This record gives sequence, C-alpha cells and structure tokens, in this order.
Amino acid sequence: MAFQLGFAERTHEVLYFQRDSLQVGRNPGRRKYTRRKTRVALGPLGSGGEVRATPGDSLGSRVSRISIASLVNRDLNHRQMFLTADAIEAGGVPMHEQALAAMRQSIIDGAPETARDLAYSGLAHGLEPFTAINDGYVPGMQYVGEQFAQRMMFLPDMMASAEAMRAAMSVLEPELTKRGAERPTAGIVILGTAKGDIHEIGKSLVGTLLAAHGFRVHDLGADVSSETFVAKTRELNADVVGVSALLTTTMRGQKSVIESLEREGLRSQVKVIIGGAPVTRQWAEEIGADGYSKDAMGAVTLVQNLLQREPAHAQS
Amino acid sequence: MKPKLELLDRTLLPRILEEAFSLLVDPGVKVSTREATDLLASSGAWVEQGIAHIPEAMARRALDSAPREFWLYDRAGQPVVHYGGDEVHFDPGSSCLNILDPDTLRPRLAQAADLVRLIQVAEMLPQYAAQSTAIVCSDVPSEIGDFYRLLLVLWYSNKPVVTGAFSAATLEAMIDLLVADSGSLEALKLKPRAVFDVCPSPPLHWTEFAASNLIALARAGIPAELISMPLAGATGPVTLVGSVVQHAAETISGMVIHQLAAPGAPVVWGGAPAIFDMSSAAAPMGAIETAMLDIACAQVGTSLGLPTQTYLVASDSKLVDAQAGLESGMSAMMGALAGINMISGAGMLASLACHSIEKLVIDAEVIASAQRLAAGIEVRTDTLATAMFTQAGLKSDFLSLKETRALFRGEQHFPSAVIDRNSSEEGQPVDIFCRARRRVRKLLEAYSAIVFTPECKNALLAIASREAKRIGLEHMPGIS
Repeated sequence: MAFQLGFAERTHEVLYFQRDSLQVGRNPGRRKYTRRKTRVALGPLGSGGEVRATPGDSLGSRVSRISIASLVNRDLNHRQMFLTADAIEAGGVPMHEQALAAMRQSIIDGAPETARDLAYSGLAHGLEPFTAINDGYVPGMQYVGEQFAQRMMFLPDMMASAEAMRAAMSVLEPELTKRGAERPTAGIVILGTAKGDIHEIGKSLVGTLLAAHGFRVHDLGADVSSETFVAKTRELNADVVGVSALLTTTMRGQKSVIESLEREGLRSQVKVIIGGAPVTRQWAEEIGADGYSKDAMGAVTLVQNLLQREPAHAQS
Repeated sequence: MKPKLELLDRTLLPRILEEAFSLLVDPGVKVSTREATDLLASSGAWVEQGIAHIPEAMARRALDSAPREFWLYDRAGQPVVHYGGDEVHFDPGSSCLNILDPDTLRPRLAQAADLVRLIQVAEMLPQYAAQSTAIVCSDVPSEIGDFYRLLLVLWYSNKPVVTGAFSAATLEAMIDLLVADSGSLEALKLKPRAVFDVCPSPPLHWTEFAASNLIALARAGIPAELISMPLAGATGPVTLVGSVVQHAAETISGMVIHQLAAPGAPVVWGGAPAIFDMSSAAAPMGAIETAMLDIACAQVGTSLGLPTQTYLVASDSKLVDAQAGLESGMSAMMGALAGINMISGAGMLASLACHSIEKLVIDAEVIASAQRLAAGIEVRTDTLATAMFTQAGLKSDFLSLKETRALFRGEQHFPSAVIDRNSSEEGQPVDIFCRARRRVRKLLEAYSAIVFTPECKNALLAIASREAKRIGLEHMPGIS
C-alpha cells in the first residue's frame, strides 16, 4: 500500500514515530521536519532504498526499526515523496505488540474487515481477548474520540471506527463467553426517539459510540412511547435513559418520559439524558433531565460523568 | 433587468428529474397510511408492504394537474401572496419552542404572550407578506398547540398565514377556524387565507399523519406546502445535487398523493433541506451549502412551473449578532434572486430552535434590501444621464432636479432606524440589537387591534371554547 508523506527534505530522510503517527524528518533527535501526520499502512515487501526509523514515544517505543522500501514516486518539484512501506521488522519486539498496534490502527482507519481479521489472527496466536480489547481496539477508539473533539476527524470517520470496533467485538465477545468471562459493562443505557418523532440518526450515533465505549446499549428505535421507555427501564434496571427529538414539536415527548418515570417511581434510579438538534441545556433544566449533550461524543462523556465510571476496560 | 440566481445548469435539470422518477420506482416511497396506499394502488402504483412504487407516467400526471399559481388572501379578501412565477414573499420562521429574552439574552420557553407580540410586530412590517404560526406556546396544552397558534394569528392579524398541523384531530379544528374566519368553506376555497406545511420524513417516507394530512387538505381545497428536508450526508446523499434529487422525489411523491386525492388542488413545491454538519451533527440553517441546497431544490420546482417555497433567512447563531446578520443576509439575498415565492425563516436563531422578535425586525431590513436587489436596475429616463447633466451642468446640483424628486423613492430603499447610517456620533454608539429593541417597542405601540365582524369573532371564540373545553383548558392565554 502506498501512502503519502508530506516532507520537504530531499535526502537523509528518516522515518520515526511521534506519538501515534509516522513522521518524516532529518535528524529527528534534534529537529523534526513534520509536515503532516500520516497514518501508517503496511504493505507487502518491495524493493528499493531503505530508510531507518528512530523510535519515538508511544507506538515507537515498542518498535526498534522500520524498513521502508520502494520509493515509488518522487516529485521533488512539489516537495512530496511517495513511499511504499514493506514491513515493521520485529527487532526483538514481541509479535503481540505489533498486533496490538495494528488493531488500534484498524479502528483509526475504520477498517472493519481488518479489525475482524486481526482479532481472529490475534486469538490464533494466543493473544488474550481482554488484551486485544483493552490494549488494541479501545485505545484506537479513544484516539478517534480525541481527534473528533479537535475537529481532525468527523462523524463519517467516527462511524467507520465504531463499525470496525463492532466487527472486532463480534469475534472477541463470543470468545470471552466461551472462556466463561464477560467484558464488564460501563453501564446499561436505553435509547429512543420521542413519541411522534421518527428521526433516528443522532440517537443511533450516540448508541454506536456508547457501545464502542463499553456501554450496553438497548436501542428502542424511533417514535417510542413513554410507557415503552418506562417498561424497558424497569426490565433492564437501566442506568441511563436517553431520549432524542429532532423536531421542536416532539421535544415535549422528552418531558413526558421524565414524568412517566416519576409516576412509576423509577426516576431516582435512573439518569435521564436528552439530545437532538433543537434541544438546549435550558430545555434540559426546564424538564428536569440529568444531562444534555450537543453532540454524540459529548453524550459519551456525559454518560461517563453521570455514572462516575471510567470507560469500560476489560479485566481478566 | 432583474438579476437572477440559478445554481443548477439547465442541462442538469432533466437528469435530476430522471433520477427522481427512478427513485419513485426503486426503492419506491414508504407510505404509512392505508388511505394513501389505496389511492396510489388504484391509480397505477405498485404497492407492497407499505412501499409504493410509482411509475413515471403517474408522477408526471400529478405534476401536470397541480396548479401553476394561486393566491393567498388577507382578511379583507384582497389577494396578497402570489404563489407562482418569480414573485418573492417572506414570512417569519415557524414552530419554534423558544424565544430569545431581549433582556437576559437567554433563550426561554415561549408563551402565548410572546407569540402575540411577534404577530403584532410582523403585522406592522410590510416586508412580511404573510404571518406564520411562529411559536409553539408552552402555556398551552400540547394537544391543541397547533390549533392555538393559528387562533392567535387570526385574532391578531389580517395577513395570510403559513401554518401547519401536528395531528389529524387538530387539523380538522384548524380548518374549522379558517372556515369561521372566511365565513364558509366555499369562501375559504375561493379565497384561501392559509397554506399548510406538510413534511415527508427523509428519506422517502410519508408517515401516517403526513399522508392523511395531505389528503385532508387536498379534499378541503386548502393549499398545502410540501416541505421535504433531506439532511445532506445523513438522511440524504452527501452531495448537494444528490439531495436535490431526493428532495424532488419526496416532493413529487407528495404531489402524487395530493393530486390523486383532489386533482387541481393548490400545492407548493416547498422544502427545508439542509446539510448535515459532520462535526456537530446539527442541521446548520445558516450554512452557505444549506442555502445553495434550498435554492437548487426550488429551481427544480420553478423549472416545472410550480409555485415554490423554501427556508432561508435563519441563522445558527444563538444571539442576534454579526453571525446572525451575515447568515441571514446572505441567504435572503440568494432567495430573493432565485425568485422563490415564499421564503420562510426570518427571526430564527440557533438552527431554528429559537425565535427573536428583535431579529425579526432586523431581518425585515435584510429582506427590504434583498427585494431592492431583486428589483434590479431600471431605466427610468429617456436619456440615462445626459438630460440631467444638461440641467445641472457641473454644479453638483442634482439634488434640486425634478427628476431627483420624482425618482429617488423608486431608486433607493429607505431603511428604518434599525439601520444606522448617521455620519456623526453623538454620545455612546448603540448597536443594532438595541436599535431593534427600540423598534419593537415602537411597533407594538403603533399596533391596532384587528376589527372583526361580530359573527366572525363569535364563531372563532365558539370554536376556541369548544377545543379548550375538550382538553379542560379553563383560561385561554393571549385572547382578550
């Protein structure tokens, strides 16, 4: 696979890891000529010049050496260089470390098939499912969340990453069950769109991200009555109920859910969060909701804060 | 010459329609009411499991039978809003739950008293050819929230109304109100005073309420405005032109249901599409791409010769600030130049989540400027300039020419005191929000109560009392 590195120097290029991305520069120990962060894509071995990488922090600290082959294109007028990566040479680094790095990257890349294949491969090579989740996939999701907050990644990226997470978990969770273990949940969340409102996208996005962050999510869908919210809350002993509304005319349904929970004596046992394009903090206060978030990623933080728990990390 | 804004190459229009017709066949349109699917099936559509597959010929018949123009009338029976051609009108945005408190600058839940003030201010501003049922009143039970908004508009305004119903039961009551206001159903059909917004749910879904609403309005002969609103990238294709295709398919499918129920019933190619913000997951109504999408969707309707409507002049800002001004100003100009018959959205902030009466008066200035721009540059004299130079010579004395006095009112728009053009600064400068607050106060002081015939007043009150009694409402806020 080819990847593009934006760098200015013509010779003596050195590749190295800085934090989480592959960087290019000259004499990185003293000065780093980084033009942009670049995701690493590993491909088949090729031929050509070799460039040595200097380990940086994070991933780099686990990698002693990188070989880059095939300077497949060089356009120095545009001060760009295209390289083909061949492989990370293990250099004494445990295979699992490479696998975990690849798992993390598969989430960042939003590559479900890769994430699933890596999960199978990891299990086949004796990697513990808990380790794969906690040290491989979850850090990838956390990175995506950070990038999203900085407006470096966007919702389509996030959705793809969540899909990759789901693909990996579809392999790892049955394996956990087989071994008599279960990934601890960060909490049980019920989600739905208010009665009379058939819009689902925001709510589904929140559900996807909550699930990717270790919450057990029960999505009731759209046009959900207060009675259904209440019944499901009781049935599952839910920690959080999330009610979405896209229309100004259906926002009142959020209030109805809270009123119904109060009437049924469940309100004190469950946190209620609301969201949707027309929803404001003031509306949340007005109807007595426990929280409101203006976006999906904020909803994850909100739920984590409301339950005062860390994101779910599996423990063996 | 009147300037014109078109964003779609004319050669693209047939392709958009071709793909829209294709979507009506595959995947088809979800229609969640038996009455509508029966109508569709009996007229040539293939209906299976609630999905109607509508052949192009059938869709084209609906487009042919829909009227090319109609008018909305004021209380006196005068034609005021012309849906058709390239005439442009504006009305305030609708169905808002919150209002910006001008003293605290915080949004709060709107009440009937706020809607009354908003109606009275809009009544005094000629830039708004029509009222809208702008606010959902928090002090009115939600069961009759839509009905009550219309009641207040009819109570405090003579202008035509852009409205909409929230349920089948209240639609009936709202039609009763309009019939009482007009004197009879025949009079209402002959001179409709209101148009009802009806919204499909993207993508390609007519819910039970929306579809039955369409049918009821068509059969009552009351104009319907189809408000398709794909969110480009979320509930519609990410490309603007892709969402234009979806909008066309949703609107045409609505027209098919509407025209099958009552061929020739008045209907508008409306819409409120927007882009989907990939960071905030919001629908930014002030984004330039949203305005482009709205203009492009309307252009498709115009190309079919149909009356048009769209949602512009709104802002995503939470305050009446420079962002609100630039977003509303840009989209008002674009809408006016596009020749869209009804442009809704003035006064609205926070991606349609908040109304502001102060913004409504500022937007009136924006609208006046946009209308002036759309009127273009005309030749009003035999010679363009030389005859005036013959009189004035090089003396800079154009001010005293009779042509100046005769023509300046047509050449220049005169803004209200909301716009500051004073060259001198006396004391502390006052910003536009403060000037708007003053203007709101003055407009409210100048507002005069509507004069009803006793029959009309009693009939409206009787229906209002009936509905209030039905839900146990003892006091009717805002009605005095």
